[in-house]
Amino acid sequence: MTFALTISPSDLLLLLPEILLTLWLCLILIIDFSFPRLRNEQLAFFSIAGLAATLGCLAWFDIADITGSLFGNMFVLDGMALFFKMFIVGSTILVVLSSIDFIHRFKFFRGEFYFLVVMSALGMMFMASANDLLSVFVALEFSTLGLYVLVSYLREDMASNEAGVKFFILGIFAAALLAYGISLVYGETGKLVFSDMTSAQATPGLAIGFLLIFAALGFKIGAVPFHSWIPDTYHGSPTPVTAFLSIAPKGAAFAILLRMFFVSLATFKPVWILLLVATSILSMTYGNIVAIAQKNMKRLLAYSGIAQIGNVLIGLATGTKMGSDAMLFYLLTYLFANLGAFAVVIAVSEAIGSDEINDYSGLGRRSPFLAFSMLIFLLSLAGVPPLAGFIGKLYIFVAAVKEGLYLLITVGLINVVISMYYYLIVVKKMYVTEPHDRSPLKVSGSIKAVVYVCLAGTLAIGIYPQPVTDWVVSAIMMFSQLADPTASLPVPPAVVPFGG
Amino acid sequence: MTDLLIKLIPLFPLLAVILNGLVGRRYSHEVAHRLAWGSVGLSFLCTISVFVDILRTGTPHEVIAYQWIFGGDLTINLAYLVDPLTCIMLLVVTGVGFLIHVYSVGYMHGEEGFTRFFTYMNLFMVSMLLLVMGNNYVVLFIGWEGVGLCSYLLIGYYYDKVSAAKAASKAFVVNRIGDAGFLLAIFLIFINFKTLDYTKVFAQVSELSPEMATAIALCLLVGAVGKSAQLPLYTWLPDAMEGPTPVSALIHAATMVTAGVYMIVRNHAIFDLSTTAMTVVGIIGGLTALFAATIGLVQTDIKRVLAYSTVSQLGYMILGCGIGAYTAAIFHLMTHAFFKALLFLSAGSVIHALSGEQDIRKMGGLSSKIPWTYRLFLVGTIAIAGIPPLAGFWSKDEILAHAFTHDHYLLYGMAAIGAFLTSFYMFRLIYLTFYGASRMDHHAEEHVHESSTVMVGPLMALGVLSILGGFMGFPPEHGWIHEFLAPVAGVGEGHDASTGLVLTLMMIATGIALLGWGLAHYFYSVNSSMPDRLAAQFQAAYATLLNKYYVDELYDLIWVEPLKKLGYLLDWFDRNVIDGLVRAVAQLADLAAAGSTWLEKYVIYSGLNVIGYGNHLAARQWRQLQSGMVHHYAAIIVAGLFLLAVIIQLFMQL
Repeated sequence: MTFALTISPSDLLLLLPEILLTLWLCLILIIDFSFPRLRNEQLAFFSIAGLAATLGCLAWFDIADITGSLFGNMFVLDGMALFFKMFIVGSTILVVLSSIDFIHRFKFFRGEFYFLVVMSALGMMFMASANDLLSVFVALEFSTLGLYVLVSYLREDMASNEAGVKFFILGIFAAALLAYGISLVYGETGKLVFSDMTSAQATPGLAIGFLLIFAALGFKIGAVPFHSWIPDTYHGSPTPVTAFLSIAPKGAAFAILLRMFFVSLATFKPVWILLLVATSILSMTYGNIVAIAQKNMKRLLAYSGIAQIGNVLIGLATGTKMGSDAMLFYLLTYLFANLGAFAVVIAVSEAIGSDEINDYSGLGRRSPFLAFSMLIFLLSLAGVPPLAGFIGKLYIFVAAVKEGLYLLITVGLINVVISMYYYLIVVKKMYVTEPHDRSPLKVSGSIKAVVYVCLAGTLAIGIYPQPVTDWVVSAIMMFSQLADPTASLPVPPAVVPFGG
Repeated sequence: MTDLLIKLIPLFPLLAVILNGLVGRRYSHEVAHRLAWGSVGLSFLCTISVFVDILRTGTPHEVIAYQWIFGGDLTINLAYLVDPLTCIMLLVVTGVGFLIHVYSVGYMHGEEGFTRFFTYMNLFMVSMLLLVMGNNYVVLFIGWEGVGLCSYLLIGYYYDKVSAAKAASKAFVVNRIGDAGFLLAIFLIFINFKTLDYTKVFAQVSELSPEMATAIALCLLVGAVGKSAQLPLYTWLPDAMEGPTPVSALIHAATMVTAGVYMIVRNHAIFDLSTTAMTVVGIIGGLTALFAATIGLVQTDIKRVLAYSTVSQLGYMILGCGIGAYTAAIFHLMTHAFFKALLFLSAGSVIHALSGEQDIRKMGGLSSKIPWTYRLFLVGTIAIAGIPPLAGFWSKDEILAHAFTHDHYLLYGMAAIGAFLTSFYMFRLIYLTFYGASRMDHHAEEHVHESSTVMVGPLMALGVLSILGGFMGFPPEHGWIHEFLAPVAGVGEGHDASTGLVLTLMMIATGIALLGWGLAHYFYSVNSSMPDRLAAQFQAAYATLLNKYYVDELYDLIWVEPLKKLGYLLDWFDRNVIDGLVRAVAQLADLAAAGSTWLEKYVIYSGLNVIGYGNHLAARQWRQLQSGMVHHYAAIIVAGLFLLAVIIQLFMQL
């Protein structure tokens, strides 16, 4: 296989956001060591400026409808890639903004923190565009490399170091699975680019290969049974990094999952529906039930995140355009509610130095703003109208109803109820339980900004979802042939046992 | 352009609600009330412009403000339908609403919670506008619940007053009964038509079976009965007079209580399919008109008399719906909004002048002291009594004439007697309040004063409307309003009554009204000992009327008390049985959660340890080393992989 690498200026244009961010990355590093006295906020705002410029550039691409593919289809820029890139860059901006207060806890290399965050984001942007197995592998490892360091950034803290080592070892393990899966798939089909594999024959070797790739991606999104790294890593990481881990890499991994399942695995549809139904049910049930027993806010959000990913997988399991629309929508609502909740956790931990749920007692009196915001975010995660999370769940379930996935819906609805229980335990702590200490909490401006943005997003999408639905529907027009799955896909004789 | 204006109509008051509600405390009352009435005024201007457009083009506008929920069969839009019917309702709601808002500035001056009052009032306007503008049942229902909520908040405006708080919850609870019926109707409509948009529903309404039409119509009627205070759910409205007087005028006379009438007219296509339902509607309306009028005869609280007269007049509108006189019902709704708002606001002016006195036995001889209030109250009274050429005559006579010419003689009889009683008790109010010797407290008498311009101004505007408003429906059955509403309310069956009959009926109606006036004059001006003597002679009847037929007591006896007892019983049951179960389930869930954690901690890990490393001791050591579990994590991943592979292998023969 040979690549003819001729890059024209118009090709470079497609890479403009990535190039911009790469240059900015170098600038961050140079500025950091050239001006050692520079305050952290200044570097943070400098990073945010670069990310914002990238976001603006992506938005321009989206509006001007600039799309295309590069390097023999290894790198594609389409509506979906743009959606996920904006998703990644947007969440990175919020994470950097909420890390400003936290940064003083790092003893060394504060400047590199921003460098590493932005570098990971850059890697994830490549993941969103990756269109063949090799670029998937490279982009995925590129983005994860920075995360390994970020997780163990609290060098004095044993928990952080432990989390880093665990994440590293398991991450390498997942990478090995990915590489093994890729080699099996390439061996069976002789193809690397997703869109070339559409006619691949369903052989056991191929099935195992895809299963291994799915395991590696399932590791990234934290779906049961590949979730095991999540609780400890979330718990031990510096909280802004936890927030980053909980949203950006998942978005990027879902971009790859969507391309892989919806483009190249058409012949395997009955297999992967089964696979996704199983992982979705496991994730929702396991995440929600174990979340009940949690005493630490970060661990609670970790398990709740596992359950939320189970919900997103319902959308993937439908295998239809509507399901993928609902997925994108759901991820966006999850971004706001989840990052908002983490921002509140950061603010509280800055003020009282604890992430234990018990220490949230009486938060409603100590900081009505934080408590109310947390209430809104938790209710949105639980899916209460008129918040964004409700509409997201509704779309996901409606998409599943259309495909007759009644088992998934039943399990999903039961899980919604279970999740209400532990979300409301936190609410009860905040509003009903008397605080041990009544002193009001101070909240810094940057955290407030993050909370406000997330509140606005959660409320606005809930009350006026149409622009967002229009956006997600148009972002993945390429799957519109899946609107009626029976029309475009051959239905194999073995019927999915879970179908209605 | 018109579409934009339509979208703006409910937006202005909403903006005022947000501003006054969130930051109202930061600025003065001046700013707050300007925002409040200014926003309603802007809505009114938009309404006029929309109205002119519809008048010119005659085409209804359907505007989707935005799509809220879609999926499957169900699409819920926040969408508006502005057709002639909505136009009339909009004009009434924003126009009368604007005048009442202006009046409130004077009336509520210096009250505690001034900004709160205007926030609620504007919130009410938003809900009412959604109610009349929605193009589907969901928006109608949102508005329906919204006005109910605002009514609750405003009746209980003086929340430290026990009677006000009780009246507020009574209104809310009684309305919920109606809402339940309405909701049932909406479900039935969705089941039958698979849509909730008016236009789509009415387009396929002919496919409905008569039984289903009757069921839907009766459920809708239950909703209307609750909201429009008809028998047997009217009891909340008189109690609702605990709210400030502008609230009574706006919500409990001019707008919200007419929502039931609007809803029936909007759904007349469904009602037309069922004679049974129509008969029930007519009888409920007729009975209410008569029944409430008799109670009004002996009440002594100025606002309660007006409240019963409102119930009675709403009865006329419902009666109009029941005999198919939809245009007449809407026409009466409109004139009633004018003169009843006028009467309430004038009564408010009287109460204001007397420093809060509402008992007409402690009034008298006010005509010279508050001349403008007196004149305007008189205009309202003549209008409601049905003496030509004021507004009430034309609309009420049309309902009566329609009943007679379409052979509903029983209903005609009830309505005619009701009209006589109306005229009597309204003039009784005039004589007791404004004529004769003063029976006021000395303290109150010293402070009697005419209200400020900001209060009298809106009264005058309403007075003019009460005098001239009736000519929109002149000549009867062929007036401007009939033509305007013809596309939505449908044209009555062709057989026009002869001019002679129409004139005769008009003369009878006028005669009835004048008779009522004459009798009131005789009782309360010429021979003023007469009422007491009659009351003594017919003590039982008098006591029954005074106690409103003991309906409240009856409801207490058969519903409220048993329900309370049931409540206590259920509470006991809840605390001892259900809670026990819930606790058990919660404990189970806790147990399950603890169990899975335990399972993870001890069984899976130790199991893996046994498999992988031979002993459990090692696990503890590794745990102390803090990194040993990574192996287990990896093992879990591998186990999961095998599990999934097995699943695939089992279900797919690859």
